[in-house]
Amino acid sequence: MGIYISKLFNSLVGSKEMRILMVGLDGAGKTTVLYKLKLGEVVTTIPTIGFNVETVEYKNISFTVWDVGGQDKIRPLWRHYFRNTEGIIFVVDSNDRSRISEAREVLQRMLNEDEIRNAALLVFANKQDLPEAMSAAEITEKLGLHSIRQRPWFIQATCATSGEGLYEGLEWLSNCLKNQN
Amino acid sequence: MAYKGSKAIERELIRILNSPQNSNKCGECGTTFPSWCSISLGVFLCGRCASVHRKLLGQRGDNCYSDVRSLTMDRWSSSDLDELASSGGNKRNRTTWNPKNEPFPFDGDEDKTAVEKFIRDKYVLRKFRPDSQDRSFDDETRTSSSWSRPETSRSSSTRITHSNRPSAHSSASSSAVTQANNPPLPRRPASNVGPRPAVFDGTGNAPIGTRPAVFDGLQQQQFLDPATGIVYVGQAQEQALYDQQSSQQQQALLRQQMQQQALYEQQALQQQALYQQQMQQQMQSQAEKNALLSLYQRPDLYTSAVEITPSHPQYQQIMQMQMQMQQQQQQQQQKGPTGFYYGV
Repeated sequence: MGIYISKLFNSLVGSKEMRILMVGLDGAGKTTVLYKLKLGEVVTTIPTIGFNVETVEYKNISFTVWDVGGQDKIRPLWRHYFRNTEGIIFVVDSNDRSRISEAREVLQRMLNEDEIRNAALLVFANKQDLPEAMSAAEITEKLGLHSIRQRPWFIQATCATSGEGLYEGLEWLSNCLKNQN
Repeated sequence: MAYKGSKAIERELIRILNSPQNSNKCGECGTTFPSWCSISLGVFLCGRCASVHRKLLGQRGDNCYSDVRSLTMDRWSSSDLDELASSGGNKRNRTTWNPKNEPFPFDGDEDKTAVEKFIRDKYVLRKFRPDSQDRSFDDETRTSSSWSRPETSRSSSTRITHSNRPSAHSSASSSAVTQANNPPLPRRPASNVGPRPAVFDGTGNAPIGTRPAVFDGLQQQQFLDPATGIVYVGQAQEQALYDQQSSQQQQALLRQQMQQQALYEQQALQQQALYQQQMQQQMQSQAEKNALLSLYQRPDLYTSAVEITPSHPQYQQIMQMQMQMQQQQQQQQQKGPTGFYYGV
């Protein structure tokens, strides 16, 4: 009830909120993406144990981004962050060809979860600055994104250290939010 | 690959971690109970070193790739375990990548740049290895047999990065050749670095690298540190030192009065003010010479450093006063020490 009242209030006032969950394999660059968006600088991250959460303001929308650690054994913990999530950012290391199939498995398993059936999916094809990086089209194919039917999805080539593509991704998410309302 | 149960893998990991070559320590900094591991480099890591590894060596396909895994949060296959067990652990990592025993920069706990530099030097630039460009360490101290041992027993399939290493050091003769080819190390030129006697004569014939102390005649006093060549200004300390020197209390009072007078008369009569200032400077130069001497015994009283350059607006005035003082000192030295003048 309180959620509906606050949603109504927000739609009247104009400032909106969006709850984002950012996941991906370990070392894909999730924490770097988060702090590049938040602080505009490249921080030396330690492997995330647990989560980081920051709010990022973009185009009058405050994105609450939850960045959850991606190590194998803590991936089952992601589902505890699914509730009320409107958007999922899945970060992929474009340079890591050997684990792209693992990323596909993880992504497909997660998308079957019932709690995030309405969430928009944004894929960041990260680390595009590296010479051997796979293109966004290649990653689309290898992750099997074309088979996704019931949800909006978008893939964006990014480089978290330079910040390229990050705001384009947020732009798409904000459009999703507008279309929903 | 044969699948082992998670319990069995955990036991195996703990066994490898506690084996003598790893001894439950981070292979980079020596912290106990490391929770991360680089499989490709065969070294256990603490959280901080793991983050630096991941940042600098985390790109697959690089010259030196570090496959950082968490001991607790990642899933380990038995082939991973085999690779780690056969790698030789921290000890082999050290003999391979850091035979010079370069110490870990422990001051980099908060600022990671020192640690990052160490890791980059160690793996990317390979500075700590004898086949690197920098040949400052002595080949003769190690026997060739102890060096070639890890070379022969290494499994070449798992570690690509080692296969391109030149084998110039496996024989004693080639190491002798490289030793002969080395140019002699540059020697430090003999110079009179170290403490020099303080120079107070104001003649400006200070040793090279130091600047003469300049008295600008205003309220502040400058001091020259002969060791560094930096001119210091300390006003509050100067006042405190006057108080300590009972013989100069009267003079300090007089000086203050004259300063006030000078300030007042600057507005009123210019010529008179100039005369007063000259008087004041004469008094001041003596008083502060003593303060200056005692400050040299207490270098901790120095406050800030300033530099008088020719672009300074009062540069000409300062140089003139310096000349005047020089003349006065010469006169005084001919007369011998007076009541206010002791120490030089």
